Amino acid sequence: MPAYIVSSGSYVPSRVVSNLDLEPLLGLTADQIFRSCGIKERRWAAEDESASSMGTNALAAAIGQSGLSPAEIDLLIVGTMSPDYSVPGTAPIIQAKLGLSSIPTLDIRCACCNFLYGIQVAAAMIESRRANLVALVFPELQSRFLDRSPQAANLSMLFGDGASAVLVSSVPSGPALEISDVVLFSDGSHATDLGVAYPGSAGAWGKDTSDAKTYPRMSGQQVILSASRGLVEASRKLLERNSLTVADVNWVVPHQANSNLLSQFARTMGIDPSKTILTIQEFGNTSSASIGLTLDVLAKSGNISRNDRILIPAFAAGFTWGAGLLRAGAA
Amino acid sequence: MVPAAIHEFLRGRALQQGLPAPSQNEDLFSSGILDSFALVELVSIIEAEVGFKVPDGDVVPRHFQSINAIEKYLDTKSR
Repeated sequence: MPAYIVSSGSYVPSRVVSNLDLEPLLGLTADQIFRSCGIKERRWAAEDESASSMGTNALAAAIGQSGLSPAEIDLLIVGTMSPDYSVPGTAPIIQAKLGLSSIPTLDIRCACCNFLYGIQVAAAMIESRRANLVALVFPELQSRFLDRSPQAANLSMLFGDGASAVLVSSVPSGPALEISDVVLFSDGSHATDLGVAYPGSAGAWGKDTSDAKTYPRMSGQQVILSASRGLVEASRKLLERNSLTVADVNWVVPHQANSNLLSQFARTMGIDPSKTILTIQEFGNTSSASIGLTLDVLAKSGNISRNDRILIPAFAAGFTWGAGLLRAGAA
Repeated sequence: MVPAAIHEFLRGRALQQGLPAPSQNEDLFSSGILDSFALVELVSIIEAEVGFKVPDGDVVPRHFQSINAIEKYLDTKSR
């Protein structure tokens, strides 16, 4: 029994933060920021917003678009790096905010690969008949945890706030996208190359005991190298085991990490740039939210045709990486 | 000996920046011909041309700072 993405929804805060706004904070010009990452602006959440409030908005949009009843949802999965609290997870909070019944809720922590891990788990639950309609929500409120100073410019220029959601069903209603395949990898030996040390039981990374331990950290060159290799490795493996080539792919919806990385990925893979959907210019890197947010933009564009194949590669802290393959209207 | 494809890549990068082709000793990073992303692309070309995988730990600017540095690195690896 295949699983299908039958609806998508997204939410971004109303406050637009341009590169010009960041100039005095990060000590870089707007043009330097754009050339470094391809981002022109991003959204930052208001004081009264949280990951759960943004996720609730995105899921409400996905439900509204589907024509399905919230009562039909029998599992809720939430993936975020910026949860409301350390404990409990954000999934039960979104369940309560949306007034869903006492269905099981699950938080996953695979950073920017949350979308891939989420649809893999959702598909497995549906294929094993343990669920019929799974709601997946990916909210990120990252602006509150950024070091807004020149020493962190390379990281803090990247991140934006936003949320995305999809409904995964056993029934291919509407413009359904079949979850054809997902390949996933991880290598925990790079755990401290990208991430946030606190709050955590292992203590600060290295000898850093300052407040800066709560800020994201990145070993830039190692991340770029591993991401470049990982995105290509996962995508090639996925295509090969489905007896496909790049020419069979109609759309690429990558995690919106950095447009320079994505251009390099497309060149290495031989992907026509017009096939790659980018939202990074206007929303920045929204981590867990980015694939769903970009898929929502593609879905609402009306450009997806029956039998189109969509490749969704991602690389994340962990390191974790992988790629997914969706097929439009394949039922 | 630095393979022709590497010279071609560096010339292409220089052209994009409005710069002449780099000399043997020119600092490829301070001139703007290479950055973190281009370095990874250069490593992919080296791997394809020379036929070995550059270990992650070797992907640091000092091995690829100039054409001479690249030549020296490749010499070391071919021994």
